[in-house]
Amino acid sequence: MTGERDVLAVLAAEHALGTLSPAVRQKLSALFRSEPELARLAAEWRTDLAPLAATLDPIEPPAEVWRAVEAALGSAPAARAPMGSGARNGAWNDVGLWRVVSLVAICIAGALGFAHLDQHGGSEHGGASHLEAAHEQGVAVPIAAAAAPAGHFAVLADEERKGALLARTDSGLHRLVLAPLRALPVPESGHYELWLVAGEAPPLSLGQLPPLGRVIERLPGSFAPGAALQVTVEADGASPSSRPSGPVRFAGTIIQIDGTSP
Amino acid sequence: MSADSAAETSATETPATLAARAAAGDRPALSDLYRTAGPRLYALALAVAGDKPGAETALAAAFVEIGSGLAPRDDTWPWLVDRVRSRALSGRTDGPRPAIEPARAIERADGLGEALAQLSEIQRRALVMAYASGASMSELASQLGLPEVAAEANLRRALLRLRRALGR
Repeated sequence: MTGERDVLAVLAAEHALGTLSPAVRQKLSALFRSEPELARLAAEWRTDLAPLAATLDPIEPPAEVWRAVEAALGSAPAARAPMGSGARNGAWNDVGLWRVVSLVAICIAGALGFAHLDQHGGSEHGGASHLEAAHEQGVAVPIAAAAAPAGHFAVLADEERKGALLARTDSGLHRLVLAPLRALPVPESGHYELWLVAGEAPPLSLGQLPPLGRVIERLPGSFAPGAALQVTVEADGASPSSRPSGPVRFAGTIIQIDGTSP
Repeated sequence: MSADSAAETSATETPATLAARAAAGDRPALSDLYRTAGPRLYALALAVAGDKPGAETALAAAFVEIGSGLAPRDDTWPWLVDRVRSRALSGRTDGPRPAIEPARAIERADGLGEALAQLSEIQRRALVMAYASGASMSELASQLGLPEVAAEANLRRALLRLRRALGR
């Protein structure tokens, strides 16, 4: 019969495989912190079992997957991102591409405040401090990917199409949170301001950008899929209700993601 | 390195060496890795997630992580396989899945073939189905046509035999 080491090895293997019930899995995950040997065994299994992936016949992934990788890494082909009101044409209207980019950004943003926005009614405090820490370090902190959350998303990218900010609403469209996907350059003068550009209506200010991780309450009715979010550099002291006057630094189109079938 | 020599090198490189180079910041290696191993990883993601959006996201997110310097420099390839699979697993649906033929694992699973050949057929099926389809224990039982307790016993025996065969 099996000994204690075998029992541990099998438990670790089932954790790596994902066959444990959620309750047992959660308990075992908690044990990993106090029992490094168990965590080491699970990691060993993940390496040992990886060759089994070759059992399946290869399937060519859709082209938008690699394009999303390139867009997220800022190595997309030379097509320049249209700025200003032009943020809504060309590749920026490629909803399939930006859906993948947004989901990828959600996966790697490290925005715990995002993941729990609905559950905790807007986690301004925990979320913001985490986001600010990520912002200061200029790194994306990987998080365990939950099932894709529902809501409206936009990846705001710079002129070179490199993702800079991830915007997410809760499913009820009441709040908006922004998380940095990397360290943002500080404007030489003035400040970043966030604008909603919907249809032919004049851009609507959603306020100054910092501090990142801040929750914006009471979104306007024009905040809907297809509208654009833009970040401009505005002179300090300008009225928040005035039109954007400075250059657009980051822009992205709002898309909707259904949590049950992203 | 010129584009020509990069192409020449990548033709002889395995996913493991490409993944290690990509993790060290070599962007052409990342692109070569995607081109050569992407279809294999996508098939796994699709089999585990059960839907295209989940599979696409799992695949893209793992490559973005490597390209962002977030992947380990050692054992990057098995890390990538597991990363894609784990992400696909977290968004698993009941959607249609590609066919899985467990017998193929013996020829195809690099470094595991001999160990897999030592398992009984039902043990091998239990292990390969659990891995390649991301099935829960009850789903695995249904795929194997066994009561859940029997499926679990076969999977556990397979894991222990594999472990011994690998000299762990």
